[in-house]
Amino acid sequence: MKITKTQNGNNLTLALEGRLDTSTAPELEGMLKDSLEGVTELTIDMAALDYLSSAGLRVLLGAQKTMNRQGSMKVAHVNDTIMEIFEVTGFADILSII
Amino acid sequence: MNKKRIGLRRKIIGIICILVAVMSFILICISYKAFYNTYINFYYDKALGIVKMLANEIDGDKIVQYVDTGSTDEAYDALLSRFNNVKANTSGLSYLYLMVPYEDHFVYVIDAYTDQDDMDNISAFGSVFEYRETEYTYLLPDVKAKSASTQVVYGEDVGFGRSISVWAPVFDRNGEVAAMVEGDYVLTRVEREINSYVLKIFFFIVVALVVITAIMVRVIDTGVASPIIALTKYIDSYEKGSLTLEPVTFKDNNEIKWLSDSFNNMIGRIELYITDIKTITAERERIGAELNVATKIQADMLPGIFPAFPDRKEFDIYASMNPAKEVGGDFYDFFMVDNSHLAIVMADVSGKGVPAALFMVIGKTLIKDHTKPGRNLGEVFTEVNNLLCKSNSEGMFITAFEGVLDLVTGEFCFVNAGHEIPFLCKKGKTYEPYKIKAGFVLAGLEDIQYQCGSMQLEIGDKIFQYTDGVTEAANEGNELYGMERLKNVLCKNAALPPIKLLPEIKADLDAFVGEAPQFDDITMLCLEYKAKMEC
Repeated sequence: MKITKTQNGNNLTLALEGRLDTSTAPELEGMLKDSLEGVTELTIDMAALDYLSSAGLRVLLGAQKTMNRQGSMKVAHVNDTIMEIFEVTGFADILSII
Repeated sequence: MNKKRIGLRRKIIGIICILVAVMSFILICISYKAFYNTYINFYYDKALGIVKMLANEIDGDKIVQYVDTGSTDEAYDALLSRFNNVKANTSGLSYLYLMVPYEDHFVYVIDAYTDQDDMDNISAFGSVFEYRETEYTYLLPDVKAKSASTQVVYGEDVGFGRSISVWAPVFDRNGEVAAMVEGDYVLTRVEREINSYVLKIFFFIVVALVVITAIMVRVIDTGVASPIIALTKYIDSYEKGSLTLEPVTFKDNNEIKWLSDSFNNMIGRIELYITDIKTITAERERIGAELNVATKIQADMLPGIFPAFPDRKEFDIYASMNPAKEVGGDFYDFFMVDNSHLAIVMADVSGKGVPAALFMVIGKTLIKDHTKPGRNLGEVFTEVNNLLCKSNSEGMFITAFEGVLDLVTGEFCFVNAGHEIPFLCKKGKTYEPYKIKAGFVLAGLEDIQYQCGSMQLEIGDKIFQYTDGVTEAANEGNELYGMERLKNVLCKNAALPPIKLLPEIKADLDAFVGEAPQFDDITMLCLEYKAKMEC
């Protein structure tokens, strides 16, 4: 998986590319842990994300919880496959999907 | 080991011998050539000196007179004995003669002889000698130039070995060439001297070769071969497992000492690694053994004896779980809530392995404990969710589906916390996904309110529930099994009872996946409502 990080003041955008699964989720988790300090607006761009497993959902949930405390989080460019996962798991209700 | 040693020595010694042999050959050739030329020039000068000296002593007019008249006098006899004397006292002179040269021949005036000479080879006064190529090429030009010999002329071998010829002119009173004194100098002795000199050099070189080789062998033995053999023995002893020998030490700070030092350092590192590996292996074995036990415990935790309720005619149930690792995060469960209510649970903990398995145990226990007769399933999940959130520092979550079938009425109440929707197969029809709204996953966020739903099951209806390990199993081409394939295989086997349906699906899944590794736990459950319970 490839993660492209764009920081603009307190706004952070992470663009995910490839598969977010058990083997790649720790990478995203580590990056979030290092970069969320002082961020008030987090955007996760899923335009190029092919696959999302429960391990990936766990990282997204962790990010959502952190951002609930210090600002807001958005999930952008969610394709149909990923949207289905969000809907089935109920994540569609707790994430701001734009 | 010995073979290698001989090989190394032989090779080096062989190379040294060849090099020395080639060098000495070149040396011998060069010195032979150089000495030969020096000797020849020396003897040429010496011979030339003699004929010049004689030529100066002779009165040219007298010689012309002898030839013209054909008679000799006392002075001639004196000259002859002078010539004989010189020849006798000069070693190496094979011929010494005085002659008058003409255009194509010369006439002998004196041909000196000694006691050793065979008189048949001595030419008499007045004998004629027809010029051959040598005379035309070398003698005649010198006669015309009124000169003594100007270069070394090799004469023909006439039985005395190779010779050089020298000559000097005798002048008459008009300064014209009246006669020539010629001497032939045999090179046999010269060549013998040169050969003996070269032989001495050759002998010296052979001795030097032997000495150098002996020294080199000694150097190789003490400096290279022996240390390497000692080192090899040491390494061999280590390789065989017992480091009984003392480390090899060297006085000279050379390449072999560096090698030995490197090896000793390496052994130190290897020892460290071996200790580490032993510790790690022991640890891994321990963990492996514990995981085996854990697998059994987890398997035992799931109801695994089928038929599970042999005395119940109202329903048939079958379930299976194949963990991707030793222990999995998926679980299914079914139990009687009370005499007339059967609960089924299908859940998937985020992640895999031991953390997921531990969280699964908590989830499974909480769900079963909170499912009480007559209780709303939405409330059950709401409470379980809050309890899970409190003990979830790792941010894990569970997707779970629970359903409770009223065996009397056929009402099937369910709640879904982010789990896959079930397939429903009405009697005589095929399996269709049964769309229900999903609540959020369990343990994700506190205070989520879960809503319970319900449907009516008729006799012969079946419900199939599974985890994403089924639909997301990938083959070697990274293609997912997917809902479509699952639906097809379900429909194809719609008539089968639960205990036969699940193995069919697993077989189809295995055929699709092929050699690709299993990434996620694969869990399936099928419930068939067979008869209404009599009150």
